[in-house]
Amino acid sequence: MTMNSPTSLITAAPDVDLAFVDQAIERLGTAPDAVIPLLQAIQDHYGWLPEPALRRLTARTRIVPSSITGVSTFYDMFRHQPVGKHVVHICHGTACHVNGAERVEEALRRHLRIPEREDTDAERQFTIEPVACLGCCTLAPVVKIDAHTFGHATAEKVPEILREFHSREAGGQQRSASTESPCAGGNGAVEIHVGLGSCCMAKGSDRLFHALQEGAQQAGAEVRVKRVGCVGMCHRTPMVEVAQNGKASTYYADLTPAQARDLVRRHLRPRSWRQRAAQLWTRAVDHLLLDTNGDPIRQHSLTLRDPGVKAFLRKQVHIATEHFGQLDPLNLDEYLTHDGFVGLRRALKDQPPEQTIDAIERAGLRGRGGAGFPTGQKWRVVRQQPGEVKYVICNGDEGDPGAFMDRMLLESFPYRIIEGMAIAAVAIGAHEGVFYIRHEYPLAVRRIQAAITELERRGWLGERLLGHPYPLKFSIMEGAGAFVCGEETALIASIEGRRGMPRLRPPFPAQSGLWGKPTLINNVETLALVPWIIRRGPEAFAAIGTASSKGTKVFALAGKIRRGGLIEIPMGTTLREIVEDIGGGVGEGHRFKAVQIGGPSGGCIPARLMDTPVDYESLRAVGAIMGSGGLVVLDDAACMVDIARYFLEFTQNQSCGKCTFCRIGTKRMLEILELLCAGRAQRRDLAELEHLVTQVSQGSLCGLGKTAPNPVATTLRYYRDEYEAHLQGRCPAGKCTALIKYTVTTDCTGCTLCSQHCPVDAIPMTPYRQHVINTDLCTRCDTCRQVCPQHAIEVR
Amino acid sequence: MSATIKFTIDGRAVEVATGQTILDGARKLGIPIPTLCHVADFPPAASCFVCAVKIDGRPNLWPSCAMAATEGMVVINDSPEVRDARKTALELLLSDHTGDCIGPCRTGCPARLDIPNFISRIAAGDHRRATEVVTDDLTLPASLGRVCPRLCEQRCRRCDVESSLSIRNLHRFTADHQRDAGLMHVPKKSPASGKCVAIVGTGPAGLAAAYHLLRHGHGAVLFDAHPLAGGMLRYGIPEFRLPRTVLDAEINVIKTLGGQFHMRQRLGRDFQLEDLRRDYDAVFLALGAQGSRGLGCPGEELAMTALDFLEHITDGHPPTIGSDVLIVGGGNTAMDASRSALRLGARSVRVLYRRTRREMPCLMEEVEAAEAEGVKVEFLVAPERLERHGNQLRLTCIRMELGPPDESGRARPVPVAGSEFSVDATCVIAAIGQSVAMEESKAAGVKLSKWGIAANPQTLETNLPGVFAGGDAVTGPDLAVRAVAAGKLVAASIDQYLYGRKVIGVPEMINSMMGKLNEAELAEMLRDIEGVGRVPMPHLPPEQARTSFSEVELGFTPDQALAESKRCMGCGCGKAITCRIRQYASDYGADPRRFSGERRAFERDLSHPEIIYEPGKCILCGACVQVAIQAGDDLGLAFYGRGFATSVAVPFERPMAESLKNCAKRAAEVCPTGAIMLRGTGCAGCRFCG
Repeated sequence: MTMNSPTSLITAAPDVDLAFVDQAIERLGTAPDAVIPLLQAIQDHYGWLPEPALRRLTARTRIVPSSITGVSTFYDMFRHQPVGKHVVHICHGTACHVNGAERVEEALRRHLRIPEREDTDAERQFTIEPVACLGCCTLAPVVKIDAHTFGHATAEKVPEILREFHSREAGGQQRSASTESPCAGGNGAVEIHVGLGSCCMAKGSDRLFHALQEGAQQAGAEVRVKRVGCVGMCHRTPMVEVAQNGKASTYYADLTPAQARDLVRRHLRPRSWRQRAAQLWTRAVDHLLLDTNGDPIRQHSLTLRDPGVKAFLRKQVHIATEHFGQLDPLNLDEYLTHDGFVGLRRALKDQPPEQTIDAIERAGLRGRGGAGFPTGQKWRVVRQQPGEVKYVICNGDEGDPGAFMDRMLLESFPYRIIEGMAIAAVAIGAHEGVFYIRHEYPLAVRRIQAAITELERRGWLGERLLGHPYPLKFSIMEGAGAFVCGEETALIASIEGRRGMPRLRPPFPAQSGLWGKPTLINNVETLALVPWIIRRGPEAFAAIGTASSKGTKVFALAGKIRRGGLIEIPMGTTLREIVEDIGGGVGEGHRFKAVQIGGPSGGCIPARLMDTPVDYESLRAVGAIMGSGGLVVLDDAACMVDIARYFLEFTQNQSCGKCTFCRIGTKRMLEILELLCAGRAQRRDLAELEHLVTQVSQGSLCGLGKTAPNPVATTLRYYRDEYEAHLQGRCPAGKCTALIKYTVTTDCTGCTLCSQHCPVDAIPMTPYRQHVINTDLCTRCDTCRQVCPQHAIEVR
Repeated sequence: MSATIKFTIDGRAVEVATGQTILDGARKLGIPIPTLCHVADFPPAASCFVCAVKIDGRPNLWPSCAMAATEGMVVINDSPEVRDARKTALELLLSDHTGDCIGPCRTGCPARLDIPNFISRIAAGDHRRATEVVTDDLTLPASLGRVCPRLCEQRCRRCDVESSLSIRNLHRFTADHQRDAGLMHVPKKSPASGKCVAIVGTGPAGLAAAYHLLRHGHGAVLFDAHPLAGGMLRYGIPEFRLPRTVLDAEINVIKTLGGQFHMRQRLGRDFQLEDLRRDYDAVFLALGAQGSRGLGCPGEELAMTALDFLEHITDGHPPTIGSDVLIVGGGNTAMDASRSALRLGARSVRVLYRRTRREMPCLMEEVEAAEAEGVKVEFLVAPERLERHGNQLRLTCIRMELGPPDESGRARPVPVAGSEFSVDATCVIAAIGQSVAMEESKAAGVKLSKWGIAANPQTLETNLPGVFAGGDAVTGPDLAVRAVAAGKLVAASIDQYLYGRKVIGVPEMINSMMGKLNEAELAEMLRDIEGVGRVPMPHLPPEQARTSFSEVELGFTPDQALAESKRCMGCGCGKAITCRIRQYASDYGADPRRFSGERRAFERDLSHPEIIYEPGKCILCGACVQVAIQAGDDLGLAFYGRGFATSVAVPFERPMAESLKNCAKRAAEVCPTGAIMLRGTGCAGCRFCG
């Protein structure tokens, strides 16, 4: 896997129509800090950055060449070479990695005939691009081709995925944009809620949504098909809730658009007698023709009493995700009827800013971005800074592979985040705010934008705030793909149009941040909790959680787990409760091994420490960190050395390249881990690795470098035996391809399935006889083991 | 806020203005904190982390160049933790720093002869300076110019594509040229110190030590058991390889400098170590490795040792050897003995060696010369026993085959059962190897090691105060060039000792080495380098050579030397002396080879008229980027990419010539390494500096 390999800027310059560049400059301005939006516009328009377009920028704006080169080679989204007709994004997030993303990539390359070391096929049809994380971790492994997302990909399913992609392309089924239109607030006796978060849409909920709307229209029924945010139960998406007045809701999981009509029919009475008769008639005919036993749709139904659903929901407490699955993300009136903007109104009208800050302090709220710094204290420092101009920034640069909480919150509760942001702005005295959201989250960007536009339209944001004479302007800055921009000073550099390189703190952004002004930066989830705290009072919040960690924490539960999804649990809940009770444990036939918490800055906590409560201090004590909330469950198929290698590969690539220890130290660590995974490491390499763990962590400027060694440190701490095994050339989990061999056991019945599926013809077809794998040809793609009905493929 | 801040560094109080950094405070106190990325008046880069310090009460380490001092801050600059972190930072930087500080030839030379430098002098026709440069590191350049096994040439970058530069022949040429012109180089001496050093042994180590001690202004009195000075150079190497006139002329320089020679004086017999310690201010034991190893089989006493054989020839009493000579061994001494035997009139001279040609420790050219003169070499043969049969000696041998490698890495010869055979000869010479005669040293009371006298490798001090030891006597039988290097080193140590300073020897600067270049890098290195073949050394024809002890290799003519000198590519870095990373790495004892792995590619941008840019040496301090910004350069310089692959280059992948229009000199100044070098002030041998 090569991410961000240095690309050559020298490309035969085709004739580029530069009119677009001029329009973009017209629209985005000529200031040096417009460089990222301008490059993004050029990238989006041309699919890459043609040099004539870049030269046009230097000629027509105040942006200097070194800024263009520096910025455009820093961020992942910019390409200096043309792309093929379609772009295939392969997610290499943690959950995707442990679920075999590398094998999917291999298969895609094979099927699309993309040569090694290149990213585009000869016909320039497909360009393959590894992505750090698409944030659809519960669907891992995930592949996104243009705007179509495919979950649960396997090497086996690649041809099917490509067929499906081509058929959708041919059918022109690209309606996701229409899920952003404001919803009319019609009334119906029956409401059908369809979760329209990115993950749900990746599983087809948008198509289901449209099918349901059509079905309802055709039936002319008293029904409202309603777009809602994240329902949390990602493992059952697309999920539909049918709410009827006075009745318990019924949930339907894993529905397809074809079943939509059935669902509508099952729940509603058509308005006219003619339609009713027609419905009866078709039902009867269906019975006769299809010989169905009752209603097939029933198989998909579940209720809150369903044990799985009950277990999933029972221990959760919803604050950041309050009213999850119930609200239309963009329906402002609905938000208002659910206590929306009560908190902001209080902060504006009923209490002075000091009292708001005091409430946040008394609530014991700590930053949900990872480090857990007391939020109230941060607000107070910014408030106390002299000067008229202050900024508030919402950090939505959720770059950790294996985390998607912030995306879900932004997509599902845009008004809540905006309210939290506005409360913060009022409390610290800022009149300008920036949402910094990664560009990999287009839906989040669109929804926040739509929400801001709606508020401005009503005059509730802009010159006045909720009708009060408090000017407040919000804007959105899209990240361009750099994990390090989650770090406050790098994020500021990025907003200012520079390479996202952190600087030494002090001075802290609270003292000197954006454009040198006092700046408050809070994470999405932190801000999502704020309105609740102000509305319900700090005591209510502080009553939840542990002594040092108050309230709830949202986690993206993914990996080798039965019930993955977005969960919100009270602080102090143990890891065991999360994995076993909420998540339902690992899949059948596997043993639960560890959880990876905190992403590249976090660590692996072994199964035996599962009674560790989730709070900042307890997690730190076992070597992990709270992180932003990625929680990836690992089973016995995960090799811990490989996990460490995976994270180091990530951080190494994401290092801004500034500090010696981070830039070169993590590279040397990665190289040692690669030697281990290849079975070529020696004992002194291991000693050097341990030495680097300490030195890289103490000799780096920002959090990325300081915490980069954590995945190595914790795996060394808890799984030293696996490192030792690799020194001897063994991979106990059977993951490191250089150290394993596939063989066929005597259980083989000679069914030839393995031979038929082997992508590299490493298994000669010998019907009714035991098959043999040619180890020299075998690429360890695992396909044979997956297709063998006899479990006759052994990995050693 | 008060206008000044008081804080401490390593317990010393200092006061700085508000906003000033820890580094500012340290500089005020005169505490040296190393830094690579810091440039005065530039915004701090805080990237190299070489200036890291510990701050009491805070976790981790902090870059002192960027960390503003605060009231009462307690800074720890000198602690094992800080030193270790700085050392590791330097080692990490060096692992990704692609460049040779000094030419690979020079790192290959045990005496660190400044090869590109002296060769450039030859190329410029300045033979006087060339000789001065050579003699500074290499006492006896004319003698070594004939016998040195040329480790330097194996490292020559030309080896990757063609034959190496003829370095040894060039320093031989320069020394011969000056001697023949009557301009023998005699260095200037420092004022007399009044101290006098006794040197036991007049081989290359002893002579080199005397040469340098005399230069330092000390007296040098040399003792030797032999009638003439020169040690193994005289007694172990035949005249046809090293004419005595050449050696004598070089020894005479030492006499001219004031060296006194007491010959036929053997330690333990004619004088004792205590006498020397009493009568002199310091003693240097350079006893050499005088012992010879026998055949190692029954009847070995019937064989002559090669050393005895050669020594007798030198003394003018060549032994009677008869017509059939057998020589057992595969080193240079075996070749010297075999060729000497031919010259003494033997009809048949056979060399028996127990391994194959590939494993021979001697130089290939020596075997080839011997064979050209008529010596027969038989491989995979080992002696079993030696017996006298009337006038003849009968050597029973056994055939060998090669087994798995032994500790030395060479294939271990294994006897083939039942393959015995006998050879008759009039004389059998054992050229198996030398050894240190431990008894002498033991009698002297110095501590011994496995190989010889135990001496600190950095300073050559022995366990006895004021007594130093070096050369073969310490290392066991080794190369003359190492003995000469030891002589220079010990002279420095003794000088420190005599002046009562701390004895540290000559601490060597660390050297970054690129190692093997890949194809693309090699092409870059050899871009616009002409592929000119090596000038061959003129020889006496073999049929003429084998009849007399006249020198076989005739030496370069001035034209040949000039042509060969122009082949030198002047490897090495133009900033080797001023480079900060090299200086700090040396100060902190960093090991440039501690970390290995992917590294920057060797690249060289020669497009700019004022500077040379080698991005492989860049440590990403960004100082040049700042220089371009401040100078308002049109294109400027930019950081490219991210992560390990980050680099600095001209935007839009343009050549350096299009950037740094008015600020190239400043960029070269602030560059802490040799990534940006000014043309014309580079290393002496650099071909880009003309």
